Amino acid sequence: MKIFGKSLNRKQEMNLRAGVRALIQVIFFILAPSIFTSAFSGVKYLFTTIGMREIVEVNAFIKVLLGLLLYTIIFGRFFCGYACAFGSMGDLFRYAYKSFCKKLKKKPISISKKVTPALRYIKYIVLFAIVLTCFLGAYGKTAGYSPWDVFSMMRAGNFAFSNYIPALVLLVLIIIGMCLEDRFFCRFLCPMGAVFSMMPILPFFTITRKRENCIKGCNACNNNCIADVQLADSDKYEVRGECFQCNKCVGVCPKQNIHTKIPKLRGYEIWFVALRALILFAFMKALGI
Amino acid sequence: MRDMIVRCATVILMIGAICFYNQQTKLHLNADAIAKAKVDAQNEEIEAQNREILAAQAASGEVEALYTPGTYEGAAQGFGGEIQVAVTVDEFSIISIEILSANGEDGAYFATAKAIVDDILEAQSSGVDTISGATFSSTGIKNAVTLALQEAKNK
Repeated sequence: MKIFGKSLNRKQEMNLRAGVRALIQVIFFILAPSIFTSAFSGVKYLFTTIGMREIVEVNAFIKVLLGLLLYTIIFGRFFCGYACAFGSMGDLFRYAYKSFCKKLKKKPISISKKVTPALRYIKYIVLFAIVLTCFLGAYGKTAGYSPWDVFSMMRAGNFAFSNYIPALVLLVLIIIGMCLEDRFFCRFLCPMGAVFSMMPILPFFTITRKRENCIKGCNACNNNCIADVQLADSDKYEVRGECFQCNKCVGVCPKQNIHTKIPKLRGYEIWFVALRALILFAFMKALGI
Repeated sequence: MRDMIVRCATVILMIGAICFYNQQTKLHLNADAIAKAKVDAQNEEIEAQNREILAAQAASGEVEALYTPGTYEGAAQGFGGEIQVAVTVDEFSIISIEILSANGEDGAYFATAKAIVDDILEAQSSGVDTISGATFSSTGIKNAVTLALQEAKNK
């Protein structure tokens, strides 16, 4: 890869990509931090309204939800990887923890890869529990328990936590989890992530590999995937609902064999990352975020 | 490929089910709505007559006005900062509520919270329920309106 005429080696290239991703995460955190809660409020509103036998209006929350789901169906879970304030917070804590471990010359803790593929199903239980509570009209009783509420409050400079102690405790536990495992909350607990992962994500921009070009027995991509995704075959039409486009697989593939289904589009080009971020930002702002 | 078909089918079915649910609920509520509209129209007539009587009584000094007519401002804490409102009243009613600023509020939440303005105008009092799903912002608007009304009452 060349930047301003200067050639970058592999490591410099991956650092640049990581830097671009971090920058986009910061921009979304400052300018559009409430997308994840607004969209999920749409889910809660939907089931609360049905539970009350009232008409489901296309209100502000439903618009954001539908917009975000449409975006995800087209581009995959780019939102999760680049624009979710909660996920970005998790990335920051994980980075801080790993840097700290490096300084102390200790190995960072991670949850065993034998366990993590099973843990991802917990988020469907979380989603179901919340949806059921809404449908039964009991969601109001959970006020003070949502870690997302206190996170949003902190970010808005609102520290009136007296009624939110359980939520605060949950948030602290989640942050500890985020330190000890990449995207702990997103992969194992996030109810919005559960919704995203069920979407019919179109195959065009899904990350795939051409199996014929792989080195026999390599599997570096899958071994390093922090979402436990088994990379899709570029010859097949497969949905990978857990992939949030962190592009770590791209960095470790010894044969640069990762690409999308669009000819010549690798999927991790910086201009393509910036374009998707721009489309997402403009779309969300248009929907009222 | 089959996975893709199942997911597409699920999404289409869900949207279809919600639309069907909406349609059925609308039919069910329509019957109620027609009856309610009749009662509302009668109430509106009675309210109008009441306002005329009150205005006459206020003019002749028999009854004290609720508010001193004018526009009053109030401010209260919302989700991320202060919400400022301007409330316009005449002797006995709240005529309009304008939100002057709400810089600390989040887009979709604030858009939802603004429904409380209609609720306050309909109830002619700020003692209404907050909007579920946008509690902080709607509480801010509600409290700001309450403060503005207090000003209108005290003058």
